[in-house]
Amino acid sequence: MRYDAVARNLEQLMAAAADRASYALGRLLNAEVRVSCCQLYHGDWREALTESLQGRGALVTISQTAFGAEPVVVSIVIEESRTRCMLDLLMGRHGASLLPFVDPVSQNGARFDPLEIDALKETANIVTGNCIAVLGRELGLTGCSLPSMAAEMPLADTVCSLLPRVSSMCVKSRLKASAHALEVVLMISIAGPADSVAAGPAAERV
Amino acid sequence: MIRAAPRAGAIGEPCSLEAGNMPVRVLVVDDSIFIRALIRRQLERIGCTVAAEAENAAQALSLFRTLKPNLVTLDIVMAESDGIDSLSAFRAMREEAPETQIILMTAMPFDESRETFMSAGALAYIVKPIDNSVFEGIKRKLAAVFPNLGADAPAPHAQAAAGKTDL
Repeated sequence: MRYDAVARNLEQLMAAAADRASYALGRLLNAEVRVSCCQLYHGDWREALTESLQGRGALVTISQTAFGAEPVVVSIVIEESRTRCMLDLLMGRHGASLLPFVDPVSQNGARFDPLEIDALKETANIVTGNCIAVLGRELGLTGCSLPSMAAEMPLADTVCSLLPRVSSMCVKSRLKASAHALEVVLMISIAGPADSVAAGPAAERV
Repeated sequence: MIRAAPRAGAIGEPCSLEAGNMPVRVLVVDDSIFIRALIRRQLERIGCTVAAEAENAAQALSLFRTLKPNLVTLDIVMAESDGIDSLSAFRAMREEAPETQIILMTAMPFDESRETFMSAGALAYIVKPIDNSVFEGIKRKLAAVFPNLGADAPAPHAQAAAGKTDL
């Protein structure tokens, strides 16, 4: 894949994937979810991404890698303080409860019980799957890893976990359920070839 | 973990799906307890009875042989267990009881996978997330397969929504 030559098409494709992800998340949460901001990063964008995530509280990250000609990493990043709202929506705790209540237990330093971890991972899995439904054919994706979840990682490690390679192109979107003050950051990163590193970090709105 | 299924609750509308004079009995297979709970609630809403739940393909095949359900909802991407994955379980079920309907559910839609399962006789290939509109589509599919069903006519909006879910 000629990374530079197809970047513009990829940008549009990834924005379409973010749209579909927001639609899927909205159906899961039974809430209106909109893409409020879609930002493209390319080159070595770790510094720019770190800056954009600074100031948030502890983060929960769930990532999956789709395999193809170039690996694609799809991640959702949520402030830990917002996950409770998301879980309540997922499990119907605002109405009839879907799952039995389980006392929270400490896992990876975060207070999620196993059912909640399962729900968060499956939500990420479905969001990722809907991205792949858009990207898969164009990028020749043929499979995907199981979701991996991390909480309370240092920010620098979180940012590194979102990168398939140092040289990647990434679209960062904010998926907002405004009625519930819930925001999820969706990252779709596509690895570029090792020799296509841009001069420096760059970001632009798309 | 094999979960015994409690008696189906009367959630939602009272209409029921029946195979002959019996409710449609369903085996729900998914490695996520969260998704199994969602599927159970939707199946009960459309009048099916969940006979059992399994969290991997090996358990599913064992329960399938014991319970002989009318319908199986089968997650495609699950960790392999005892050398059995979803595709091999699906093929075994189709061979052993071709009258049993199987609905594939996946979060990861790939064209090749869809073609493989649909050409081998799956009733539907559902891309998650699942919600009421998806299960209204499933209800219509089941009504076509089981002739004694009391299925209601679908609402137009449900038809439109179901069209987006690869039913």
